[in-house]
Amino acid sequence: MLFEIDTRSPVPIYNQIAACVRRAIVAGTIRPGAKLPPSRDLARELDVNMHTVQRAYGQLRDEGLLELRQGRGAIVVPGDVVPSARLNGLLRDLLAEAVEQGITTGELTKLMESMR
Amino acid sequence: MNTALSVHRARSVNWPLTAFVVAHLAVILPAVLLIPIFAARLPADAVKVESYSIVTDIVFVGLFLLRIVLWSDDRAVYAVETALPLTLGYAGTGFFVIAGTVLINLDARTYQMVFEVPAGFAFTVFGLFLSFGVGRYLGSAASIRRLRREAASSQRIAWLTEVNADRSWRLAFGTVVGIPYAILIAFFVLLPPGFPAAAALLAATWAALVLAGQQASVFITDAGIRVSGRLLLGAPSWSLALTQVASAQTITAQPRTTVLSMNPGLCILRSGPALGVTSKTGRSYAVSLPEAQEAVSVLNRLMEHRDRGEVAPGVGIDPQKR
Repeated sequence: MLFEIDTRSPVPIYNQIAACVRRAIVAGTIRPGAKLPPSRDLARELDVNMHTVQRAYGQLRDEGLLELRQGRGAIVVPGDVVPSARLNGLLRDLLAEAVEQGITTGELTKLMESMR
Repeated sequence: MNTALSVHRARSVNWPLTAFVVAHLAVILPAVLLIPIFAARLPADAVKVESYSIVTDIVFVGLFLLRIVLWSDDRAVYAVETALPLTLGYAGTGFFVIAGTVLINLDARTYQMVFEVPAGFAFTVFGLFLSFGVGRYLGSAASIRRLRREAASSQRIAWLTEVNADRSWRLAFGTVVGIPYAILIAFFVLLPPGFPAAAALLAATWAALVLAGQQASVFITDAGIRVSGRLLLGAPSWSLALTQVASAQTITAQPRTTVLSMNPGLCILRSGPALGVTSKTGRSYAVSLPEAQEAVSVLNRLMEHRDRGEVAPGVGIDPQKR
């Protein structure tokens, strides 16, 4: 699975890592029931703190996308992704992208309304 | 020029091999020295432990020499992440067996090998895990240090996956590793008065290694490629900095044609697609990967951007989003 982060981005690193996982789940490149890389391994390869990766995995667990099992690591929730969890994930990605481009939440809302 | 280069190669000392053999002896010799030191307190037939240490060392050195003979494309280079666990594993286990045998026989009337008593058996298994564990840690640390990325880079890319051994690997590995094991088992059975416990331990170890199979983690980053065996003995592990990668391609590989070569640059755990990498020195590396095509595409993009002088590219992401 591919992870890409930019340490100079205004988007927090844990959000960038979580976004990579969300994108992979939504695109189907990582299947339900698949195991994500151990947080220690991913942190080492990305040169980031292990707690940053754990925070990203924790966020995805709270969104209902991942299961964190003691001794087994992070597993993509088996079965179809709950629609609200998927929408939640996509919105988070959208917000992160907006932050990166300097677009405020108000401007984003107006933009979405104009698309209706 | 070519002739001079050939002469230089022929005369050059194989430093990695020398270092590993020296490390092996440095670990095992202190245990062997315990035998003459405590000779007065050992049973008369304790000399057999010396025979044991000599035979196991002959098998170990034989394996290393076999490796050199069979792996002729680049004899002077060993993947430290493979050789360290093997060297320390063999030497450390030998140390625990010999030292343990000497200790349990101090002032004893009848001679016993360390693994013939339950506590000694546990001691031997502990030594085996400890030795391979230390070797794996040191080997992994060496390969990670080798792949440090540029400090100036703010963009980080990592493609991670895992691969498990299939039946074809078990068959190939079981056959190849079974031969030295069979020699050692025959030695333990035939050596009077016979060491059935040792023979059973070796047979059980062989069966456990084959049944447990192997697992390797593959890491492709903007710093390079790292393949790391995950279980006790460790599948062949290797690493290559991105700056050293000349080309990457999908290949088809079979464990039966690669296990025998004992080449630490070939981590072939399954029959089927594999990522093949050629270094700028012309050396070949490979790792079994069901997603080999995806890995090749990531590597090719990374190399394209490396060649353009960009530290880390946007792989798999729309450039307009960056």
